[in-house]
Amino acid sequence: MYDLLGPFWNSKAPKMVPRARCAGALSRWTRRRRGYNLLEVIIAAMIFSTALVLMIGLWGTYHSALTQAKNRLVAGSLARAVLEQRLASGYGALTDIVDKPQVQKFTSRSQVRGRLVSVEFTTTFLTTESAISPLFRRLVTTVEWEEDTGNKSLAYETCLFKSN
Amino acid sequence: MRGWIVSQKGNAVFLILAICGVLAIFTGAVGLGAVNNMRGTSQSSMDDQARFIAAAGVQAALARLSEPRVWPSPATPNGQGDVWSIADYNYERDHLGLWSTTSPGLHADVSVYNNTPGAFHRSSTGPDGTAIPPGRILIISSGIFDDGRGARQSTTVAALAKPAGVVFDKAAFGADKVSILDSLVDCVDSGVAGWTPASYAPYDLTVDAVRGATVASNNNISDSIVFNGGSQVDGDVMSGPSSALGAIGYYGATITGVDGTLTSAKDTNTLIAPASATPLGGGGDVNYNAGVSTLSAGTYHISGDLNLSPGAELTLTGPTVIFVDGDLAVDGAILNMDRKPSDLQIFLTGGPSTVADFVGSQGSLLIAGADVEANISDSELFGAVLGNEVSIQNSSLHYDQAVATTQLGSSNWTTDSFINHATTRVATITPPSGGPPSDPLASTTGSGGSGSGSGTGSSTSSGTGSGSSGTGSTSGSGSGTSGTGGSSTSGTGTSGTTSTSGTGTSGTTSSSGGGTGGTGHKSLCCLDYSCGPPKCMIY
Repeated sequence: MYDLLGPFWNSKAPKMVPRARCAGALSRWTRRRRGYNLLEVIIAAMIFSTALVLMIGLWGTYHSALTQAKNRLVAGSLARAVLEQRLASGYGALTDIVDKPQVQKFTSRSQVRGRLVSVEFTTTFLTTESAISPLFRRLVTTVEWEEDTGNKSLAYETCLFKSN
Repeated sequence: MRGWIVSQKGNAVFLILAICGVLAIFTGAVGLGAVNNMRGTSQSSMDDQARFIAAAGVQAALARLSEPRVWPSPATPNGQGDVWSIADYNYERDHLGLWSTTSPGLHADVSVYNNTPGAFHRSSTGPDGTAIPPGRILIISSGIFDDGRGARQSTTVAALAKPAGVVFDKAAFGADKVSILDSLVDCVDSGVAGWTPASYAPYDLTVDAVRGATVASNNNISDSIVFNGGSQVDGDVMSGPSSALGAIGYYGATITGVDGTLTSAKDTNTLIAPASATPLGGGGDVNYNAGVSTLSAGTYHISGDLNLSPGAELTLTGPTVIFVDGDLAVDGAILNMDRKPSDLQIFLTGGPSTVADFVGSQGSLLIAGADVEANISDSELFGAVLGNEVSIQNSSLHYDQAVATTQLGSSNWTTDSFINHATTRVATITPPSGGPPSDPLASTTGSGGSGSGSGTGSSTSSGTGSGSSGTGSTSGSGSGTSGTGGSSTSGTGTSGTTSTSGTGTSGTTSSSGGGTGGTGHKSLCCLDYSCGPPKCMIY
């Protein structure tokens, strides 16, 4: 019987000798070495495969987190842009759209793992008269989008007073 | 050899463990990056939300300030309007809270520091010592985002608020230029019961001076305000901040008040006709021809010009406000000569090149337009005129002191630019021999005394405006108005070095002496609000 899984780098590995002649010595030698390397490799393979599975899972989570962060960043930029644009237009420009939601759709396209992925963002701008003063209006921009984990939304809110 | 072999046991495991360790570290680092990425994105979003709600807080404060004035009382402890305050008598800050309708953890906490004459708690400085110009209100709004799970973000914004309307606190004000030739500018008071223009009695300015009809300009270059020998003004004459010598050209005019410079540029707000104003003229011009026409009391909006032809007379049934998008032309006509000036307010809302001509006419009215070129000739006017350029020739302007403190055209408050109140001054200082350069601020800030440039040697001297009885602004002495601020022009040194000081916004001004031999250091002191604490660069 030969230790086929023995250390192949050992140049002084035992040669093939008759069993009867070397039975005692081989027996002692192989008893010390028997199964170690096989077990070692099996354990190592198990550890490695387990770690690999875990890490692949983590990479998936990481990728998902990155996608979520990117989507949230895009949503934030859209909400900010819509709100700033409305603020810049001034109080008068809001008069015709009080209590009338203004809906716009934006599509974000990006390469994910070599595939073109599109995410649709829906912005809803709503201005309402406030109870504080008839010249005081609330401006709310809500951005909604869809992810694997479900629907997401982000809302920015501010107010505008008619100064003159 | 056997020992070596035995020592090789587990090598593959160690190797794999090492590889796994490296991979784990790498994955952990990447994961940490992902977490930080998420956190940064979330932080950015919260920051935006906090900033927007903080801005909303400023707007809420403006809305509150623009409400009709209600003094704090047991019934309304917080007051309302520009006297909004908390009647706790403990000088607690005036504040309000604004809550988001979309997120319960999002709100703004707004504090107001009011430096208007009517303030219940008047404050001339903000919490950090920032000076608040008189007539202004500092609003500090903190937007706070708190999701209730430990994530918290706050952003604070500050705004300076000013009245959005017009205050006719000057008899004749031209942002760019005022010219008064062969004309009289004196005072009346329509607040006296039963007063009408017909009750006006001329008086001798040199004997019974009231000194209430101020003529002023925001401009500070030479001849920004010009008179001639035939002009008389019963009041002060004020040129723009940091005026150059010769900004006021008297040329023999009679002035009963003092002269000086404005501590800050006067507002010339461009008004907008309210949506509730009644349209006149069907979207075009409105012409009143010869004959008497009566206009009912109310607020009107004329999209075109307002013209009154010779022989036309316009009477009113009560207080009337007219917003005119075009020009005003009154030629040989009579306007509202049986009522007080505040009963006819004409606001010219057009842009540059808008003209208001008042020729050979009589009127009791207030005229204002930020970009207006107003020409009054051969006329008699009760009230006040505010424009970009005001020219009065062979006329009488009887300033109505009753409107000096009232905001007209709009009772709202709006945001003001901090830059408008920034002051940059250049002073020449000479360090003590052998010592380090003097602190220019220490040497130029203070009160009391009149600034004067010494003629010889090195010196630094402090100076501020004196009170209303201050001296006239002649070279080498300071002058001021109302006891606040003021400016001075420096003296000249024997070596001919000249330095010019700027104006202070809160009673600070400077003057400097000319050094000998040109050895003085120059310092540029920035008192701009945007600069933070005053800083000086010495070069």
